[in-house]
Amino acid sequence: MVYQPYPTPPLIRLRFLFLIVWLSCTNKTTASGIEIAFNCTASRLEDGGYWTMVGTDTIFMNTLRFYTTDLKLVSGDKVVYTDSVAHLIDLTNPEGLHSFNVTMEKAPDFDAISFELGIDSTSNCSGALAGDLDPMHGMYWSWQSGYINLKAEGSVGSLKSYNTEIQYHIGGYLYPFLAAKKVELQTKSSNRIRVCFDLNRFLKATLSSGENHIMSPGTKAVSLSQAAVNAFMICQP
Amino acid sequence: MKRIALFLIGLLVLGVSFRPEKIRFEIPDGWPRPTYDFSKNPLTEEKAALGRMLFYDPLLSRNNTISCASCHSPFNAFAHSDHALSHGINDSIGSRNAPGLFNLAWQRSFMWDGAINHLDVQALAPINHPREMGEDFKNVIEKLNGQPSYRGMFYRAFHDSVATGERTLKSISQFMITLVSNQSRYDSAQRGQTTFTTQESNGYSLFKANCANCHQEPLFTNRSFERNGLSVDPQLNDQGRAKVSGDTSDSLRFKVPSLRNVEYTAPYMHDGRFKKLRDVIQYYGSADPASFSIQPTHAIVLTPNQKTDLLAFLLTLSDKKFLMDPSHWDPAMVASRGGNRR
Repeated sequence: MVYQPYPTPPLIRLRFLFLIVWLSCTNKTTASGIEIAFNCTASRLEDGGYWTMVGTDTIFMNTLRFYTTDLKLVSGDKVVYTDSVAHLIDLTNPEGLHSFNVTMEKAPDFDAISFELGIDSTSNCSGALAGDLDPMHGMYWSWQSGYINLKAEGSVGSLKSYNTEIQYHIGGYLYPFLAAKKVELQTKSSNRIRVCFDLNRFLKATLSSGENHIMSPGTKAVSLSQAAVNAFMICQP
Repeated sequence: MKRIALFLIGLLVLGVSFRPEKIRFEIPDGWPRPTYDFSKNPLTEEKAALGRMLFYDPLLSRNNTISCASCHSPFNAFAHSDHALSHGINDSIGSRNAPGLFNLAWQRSFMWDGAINHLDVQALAPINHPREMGEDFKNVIEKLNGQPSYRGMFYRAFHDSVATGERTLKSISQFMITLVSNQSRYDSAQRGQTTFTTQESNGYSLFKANCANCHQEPLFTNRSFERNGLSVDPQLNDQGRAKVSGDTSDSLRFKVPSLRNVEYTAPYMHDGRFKKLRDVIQYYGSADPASFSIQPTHAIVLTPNQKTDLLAFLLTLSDKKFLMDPSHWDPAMVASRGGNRR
């Protein structure tokens, strides 16, 4: 190996200076914003978790986190706005953000929204990423590469067993076990869209499969991902 | 006049503060292009120095006792001598043999089963593994942000003193990328700077006839996953690549390790079952060729003299300059010896 620091060419430094001057001179335009807010339909606990009844079982959830990416506002069959940024939504963190804002010059009319529940294959193969995709957020597997698209952890209160824990770490970016799935919801134009996650519906589907622990990619993870997609709905603002 | 002077000073400060200290990564003659995408993580002196500090810091483990270097010693080409399986936190024993670390910019995947798809996220695996470093990665970042000495290093590397997961991992990658081994006697012979002895030359011919399909030059690995007929250790029950791919045809396939520095990286195989190179050669002479996933489909039966010749060639892959390069060593140890002497 030969180490040869190479200096930044003067032209690049000058370009940077011009950029700073240009940015400081540019008039800021007022932008419209739309808030995408996520909620869980289940009853809230003081620590930020949720509880719900599935049959005769009481389910306590202390972790409910997921990634949304590639948000689209749709009018008819036309996409009128796209936001490709990945957002980590943590519904069980009392201090965490349950919403994000998208800004645009002028808010368009739309009648539906869609987003990917999970992270695309390219990002899964791109090494260490920043922001919400930083592996320090606990949504990246360490024993193998790949993001956890949805993490749901809790316990079944009424089971007389030592193994009352339920853990779903849903992910997978390799064919045929691609777990990221599209959520499509009809809605009306608004500057605040409230998307709810029907925890009860999700748990009914997952617990009926008889699986309390799914923590790796595969057919079960793909199936659970679809159950999660089916649990999203638009709530009244 | 005063304004012009201030403007010029500002220009000077701007030029100095944004000057990147990039490292030019040189590709040895005849080597393929690296797999690592340098445009996503441009090599700089500051990031590599930070990564080197992190690599040797036991703070990355749960009880601050195990560093990356605990299982990847620079004096063993970053493998772990005398340990068949990795030796981690609280004397825990892992399930795989710690491989040597060098020429990683050319690797397509990492770990014996290729479970890790990118060098930048490789360090997460041992940090999180309960029998290796046993630490939550978020805690690592919190600990780093609590260390004043790291604040300066992160600032120099990223123009921001805050440690994040992305910055930490990319810095460790940068140090590992600088571990290039291409100064062996074999390399000198390829460059025409020296010639093999007759014994080494015979060994080279035997190597090309029997081993080179998997251990392809110049990296001495085909960077793929192959089955070499080893029986399954019933305690480990390690199925190799199949665990990652979910494909039963990948059962018992493991990543082909590079033979560079093979003299220093004992014990051998994914579970470290062979202590000596002679044991490995002996094994290939007795293995069932039907269980190999790649040619040759015959057992590699060699005479005693041929085995010695092959060993002589394999020893030409030893890169003592790589081992003795203090720029790869623990910076604290080097500082106590009076600094790097390249």
